[in-house]
Amino acid sequence: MKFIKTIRHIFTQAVILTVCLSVAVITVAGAIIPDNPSVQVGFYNLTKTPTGFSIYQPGGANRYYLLSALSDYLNDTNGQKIMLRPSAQSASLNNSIMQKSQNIFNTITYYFHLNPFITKVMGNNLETDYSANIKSNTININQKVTGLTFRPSSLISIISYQDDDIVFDSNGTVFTESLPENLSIVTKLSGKDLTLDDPSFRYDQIDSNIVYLINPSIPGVLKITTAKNQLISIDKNNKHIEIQTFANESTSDITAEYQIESLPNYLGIKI
Amino acid sequence: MNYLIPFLSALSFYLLPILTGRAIFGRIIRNKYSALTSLLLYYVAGVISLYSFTYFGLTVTNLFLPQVINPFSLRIVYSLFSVVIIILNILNISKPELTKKSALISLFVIILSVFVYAIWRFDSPYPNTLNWDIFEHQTVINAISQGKIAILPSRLTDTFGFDGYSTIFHVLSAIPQIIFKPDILGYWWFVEGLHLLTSVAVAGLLAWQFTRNRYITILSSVVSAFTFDSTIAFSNLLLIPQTLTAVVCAMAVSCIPDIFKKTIKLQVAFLIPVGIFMILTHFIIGSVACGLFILTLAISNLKIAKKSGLYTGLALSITCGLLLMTIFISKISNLSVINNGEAGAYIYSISQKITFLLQTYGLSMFILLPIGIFTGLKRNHNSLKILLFALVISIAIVMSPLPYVMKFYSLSRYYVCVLMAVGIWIITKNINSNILKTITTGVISSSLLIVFILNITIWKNNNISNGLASQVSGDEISASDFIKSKFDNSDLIVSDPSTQYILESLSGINSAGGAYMKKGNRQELDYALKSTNLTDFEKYTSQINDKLLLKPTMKIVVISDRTVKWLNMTDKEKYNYASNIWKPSIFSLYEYKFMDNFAQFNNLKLEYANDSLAVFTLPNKNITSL
Repeated sequence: MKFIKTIRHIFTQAVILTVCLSVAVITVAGAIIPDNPSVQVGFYNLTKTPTGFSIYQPGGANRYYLLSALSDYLNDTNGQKIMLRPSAQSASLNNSIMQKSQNIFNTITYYFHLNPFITKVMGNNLETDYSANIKSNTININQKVTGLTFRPSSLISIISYQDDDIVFDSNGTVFTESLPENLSIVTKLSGKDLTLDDPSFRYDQIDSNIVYLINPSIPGVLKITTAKNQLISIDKNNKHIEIQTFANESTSDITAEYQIESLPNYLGIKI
Repeated sequence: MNYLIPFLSALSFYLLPILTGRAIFGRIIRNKYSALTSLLLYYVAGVISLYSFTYFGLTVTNLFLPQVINPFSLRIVYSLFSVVIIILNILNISKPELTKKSALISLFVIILSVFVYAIWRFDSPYPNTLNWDIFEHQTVINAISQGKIAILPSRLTDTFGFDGYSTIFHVLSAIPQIIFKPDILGYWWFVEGLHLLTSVAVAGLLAWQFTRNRYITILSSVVSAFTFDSTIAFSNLLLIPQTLTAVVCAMAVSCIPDIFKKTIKLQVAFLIPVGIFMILTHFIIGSVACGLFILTLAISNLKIAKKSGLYTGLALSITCGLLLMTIFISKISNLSVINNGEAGAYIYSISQKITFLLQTYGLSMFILLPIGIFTGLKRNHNSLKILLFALVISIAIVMSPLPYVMKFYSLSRYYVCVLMAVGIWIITKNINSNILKTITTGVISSSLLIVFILNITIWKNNNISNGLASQVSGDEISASDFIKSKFDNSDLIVSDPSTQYILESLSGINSAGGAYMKKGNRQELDYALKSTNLTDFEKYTSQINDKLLLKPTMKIVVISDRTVKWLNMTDKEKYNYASNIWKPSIFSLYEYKFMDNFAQFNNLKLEYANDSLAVFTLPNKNITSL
């Protein structure tokens, strides 16, 4: 009799606990969740995409700067391009309960800047891990390609820019065909002189580790900084800023690291 | 020291009225009412006394000795007054009636409030603001701090086109600002933190008074802390007249178990100052709060009401009556035109209202509130039935199809907090182990905390710029300081509604209507910003006027990134009071180009510039023909 009482008691307690946990779960399940969890970095927002990251200005001009496995590629030792080619599975959006839970988790951790952005992209028998750590107005990007069955010479990470963007390096050379009046405003606001590059050069390797990117309709400046052993090139035909990271002889993986900073004002431009 | 002065001035917003009320009416109140009721009476009586003192003092002095009114003399008078009040309180000091358990619960409420405020302010550190309304209130406070006084805000500034309240709230803020001269935004930062503390404490008090259950008391505070009604009501995180009225109304209702045992004379003596305070603080919300309180008090007095059927019957009858009446009003009149059409933006459908509730509570409200309501109806809890009565009536108003009714949710939410806490108590009360009970309660509370963070993330999304959640930038604060130092009250700021709203408030220099710029002024500004020569520009700006400052010496023209964004809006948006450029930014190149060309075409004299705005001056000319 006592045993039955004990069992009944345990069962009752278990039911109550289940009800309490269900209330908590249902409470959160019914909450309104931000559509696409993002984190503010200066004047821009950073969000995950199925193939990498997107940097954009919320509510402002419709401009997106993508860091994506769709455009990034490897060079092998013969100078051949090997695209990362993300598979359809990793590129598709998953609308399951897991996705909702992930969005809730991401929203909360992004709110407190606790969680690095991580996007894992599979494709072409390669795995590319993009991660972004945010400190104040700076995004530290780490892009690691693993699963290599060949020895690459370098990884090319691409940030594509748009028609009316102004791209210039820390020597003051402008690589875009920007209007002189727009350049004179940059000069006025930053106090730095800018000179237009020869437009006949369609592919420029930059003698600097810093590139600035300004969109005339978005406030602020994006400053892209690479390490000394990386190269930055501008592909004017495809409107790409290419960051070339060379393979390390001692490992089979290849990792690119660079920074994107949203400057709080134009005076942050150093030439 | 940077934080101390704003904190002390914010503390004085609550403390000075309490001490004033205690010093003047302490002997009358103390012996007749309980400690809680006395505290509320001290506060409301103190506020009314301070308001009367300020109103009559300034009116008479302005009439007979206007030359003696200046910020220094006002500071001396209010400082001396405060010293006298403090001395009178020290002379009548008494031992606080606080048990160890009550002290622990109070400490918990303080820690909980600090915790929630830290989460809310995580990306909006001192002294940033997320309360757009503080700018219009600060403009009235500035006028009072300069010695001006009127019952209605619109007599002090044309920022108010619609008088929803008296200047009692503004006098209450002006006095600490006159005495301490704090950093304005710092003052609001702290006073909103204290407001959160009061709203968390009041939810707990309400629960304690109606249930006498410590567990429900703590849970009610937790629910109040973790739920931000982020659509129009803004009960716990933003301090505005309606939210202050709601806190006082909830506290008044929490006094009902004490005062319904008193004589009718004492009940009326309680009702009069509380009612005056609520109505003066917000004419509409205060009147409804007052009506709700009287009904709730009346039904508590009815002995026959102990039969639950009467509560239910009365509540349902009044609810149906209210709903039918509001539906009828909405059918026969076009209320969306109130406040130049702003009201139209604040009429919500039932499904929208449910979405707002989901954003605030997740699904918890739809589970825990019914459990709390059924408990109130089924069990022998007459006191809970009183709360149910108040809840049902206030919810009926919220659900009605009138503009701004979501504001009334600031009254309902305290009853919701208590009844949801009762719901949690019902679910968890049969758990035998205290540890398990604490864990399960913690899990349910955590789920509310998660919903709270999701909710404030969505709410802040449109207010984050340059890494900070704020509606004002450092550039705008610097520009306000410049305008304050360079110009005086005979000058007039002319800019887009949002920019002039902020600059007027922070600099104390008048603008042409702030965010509530009249349609005619908006039209002239639109033309002026499109003009390409000084003659046209002067013509149009000469038509932009403030009804309280008809002949300004100088017009201070400010072009900011908000100005260019305003100019690029559709005509409908430009003339709509509900459309504002909420978040600050710096100039984009296009915006800067506009400002630069504009200044050159119109040959304006640049006085000040930073990355967000440029300040020009234009000697005022009276040009009437266009």
